[in-house]
Amino acid sequence: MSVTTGSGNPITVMLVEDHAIFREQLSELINRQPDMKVCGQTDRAADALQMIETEQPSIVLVDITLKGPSGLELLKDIKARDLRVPALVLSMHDELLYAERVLKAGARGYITKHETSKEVLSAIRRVVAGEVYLGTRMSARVLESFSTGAAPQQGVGQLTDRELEVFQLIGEGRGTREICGRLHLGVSTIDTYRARIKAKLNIESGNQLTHEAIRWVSQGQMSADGN
Amino acid sequence: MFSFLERQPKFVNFLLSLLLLALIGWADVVTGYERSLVLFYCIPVLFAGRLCERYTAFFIAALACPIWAWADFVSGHEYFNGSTQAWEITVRGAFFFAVAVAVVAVRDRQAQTDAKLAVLERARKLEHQVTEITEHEQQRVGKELHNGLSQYLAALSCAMSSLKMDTEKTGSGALVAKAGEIERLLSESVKQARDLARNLAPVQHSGPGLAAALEELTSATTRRMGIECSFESAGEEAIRNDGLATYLYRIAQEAIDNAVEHGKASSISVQLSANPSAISLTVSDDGVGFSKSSKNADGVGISVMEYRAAIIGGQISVEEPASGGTTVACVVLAQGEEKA
Repeated sequence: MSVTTGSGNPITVMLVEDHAIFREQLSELINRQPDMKVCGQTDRAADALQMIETEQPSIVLVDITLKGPSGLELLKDIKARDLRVPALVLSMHDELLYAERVLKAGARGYITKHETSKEVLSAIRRVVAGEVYLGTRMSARVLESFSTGAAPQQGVGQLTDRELEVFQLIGEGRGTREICGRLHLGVSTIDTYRARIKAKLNIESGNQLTHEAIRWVSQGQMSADGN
Repeated sequence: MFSFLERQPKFVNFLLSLLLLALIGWADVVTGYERSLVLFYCIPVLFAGRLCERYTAFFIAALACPIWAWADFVSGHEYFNGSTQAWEITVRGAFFFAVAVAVVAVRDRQAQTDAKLAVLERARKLEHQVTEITEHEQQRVGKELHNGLSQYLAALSCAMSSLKMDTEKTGSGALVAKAGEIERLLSESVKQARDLARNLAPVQHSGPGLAAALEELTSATTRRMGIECSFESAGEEAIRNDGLATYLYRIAQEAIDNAVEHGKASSISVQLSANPSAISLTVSDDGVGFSKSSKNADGVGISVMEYRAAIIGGQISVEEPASGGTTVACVVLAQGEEKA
């Protein structure tokens, strides 16, 4: 292990974590590092804000679960008050669940408590150095979303307006009888539409048709929500 | 009309059946003996059998016999001799009694069927409750593990790292090696506790939580089984019910297990689509197909999925596409979600 004694100012770390025993052990571990020092710790978001203003740490480690308002609120407050301190979220929760949200709230990284202590220390150093830290799975997901994007379903464009209408209604979970009522058409006409849609989209069964229709409507929902 | 009468006290119905009997006796007298009303005497017997205590039917049948004989006599029916008359009365009496036996038998059968249905219904409800309690208890233990023990283990892991650093500075080689070993073991315990907690409470929140849990499940399948297992989701925010999310997860888990164990699949694709009115979950594999895989085990797997789907108001379909493999699909419509 490289010893960097006397190389400038040590990294000052503030811990905002509600589990006292973990906080103590982590702070001890950090203080063991020659280039790091814990400059304050608390389990409340409100106290944390004040301490950050007075102590001006190089990094703040934030847990999602805190006493009182959550770590996400704290991140938003830090951003709102323009405190210019990088935050690394250290939490027991799965990164796939929270990483995106904490980054949006202004954090510079997300690491789970399941990671080894070595990894946690390395994440602290990287965030202080100005990098964004994410676990391997989350990084892979971010890259994936860049490379693929949401692929629109092929073939739906070939449907006529009426077929598309039927397809949409199936995707909203309407039964054949309800679709008949809405479009003022007979059951056999709807069956013909279903057969044509299946042929155009290369769908084998009625169940698969239902599934593809729900998928199509859900994707539309997603892009509508995204606006 | 029957349901109205069924709600009346038994003795009211008894009086009504007596009244009916009297009316028919009177009508029998009025119409004369040439026009036999014997069949109509069955009406009060059936009435009593259906709406009074079961033995009342026999009482009315016993009463119908002398009344018929009286009406027959009063309306002037002359018999060749006394024994012919006695024979006629006996035959009528036997007929009324047979009707009473029949109506009581039908009634008993009906009661048995109702009781069986009630027992089945209770068993079904109990089964649902047991499933829900099991699921709830697993969630609770999982969360406890996640929020409690895991935190201690993580703390312990930190403490061990500190200790290891100290021994590296001052201690002997053997001590450092031991510290390293403990650190590794601790790190392994943290991972195992996490996996266990995840298994017990896989879905931390509905919606994005379900998508995250399924992504974890599929990537774990790829990692552990060496099977290409992919996941795709759209609109999962529309799922706002924790229970629903957990059941959908369990269904996906079961379908993946089936594909791996019985389907001998080499690639599995899981898709979740949700919009406010419908949710669809499909698990497709490229294995040997449902009909060719070991049927018994698969059958159980499918009935478990069907059972879980029924609880959330969904439906399971299992198909073999022409391209091969098996596709398990679960569709939950919004009406179903409200029920869950």
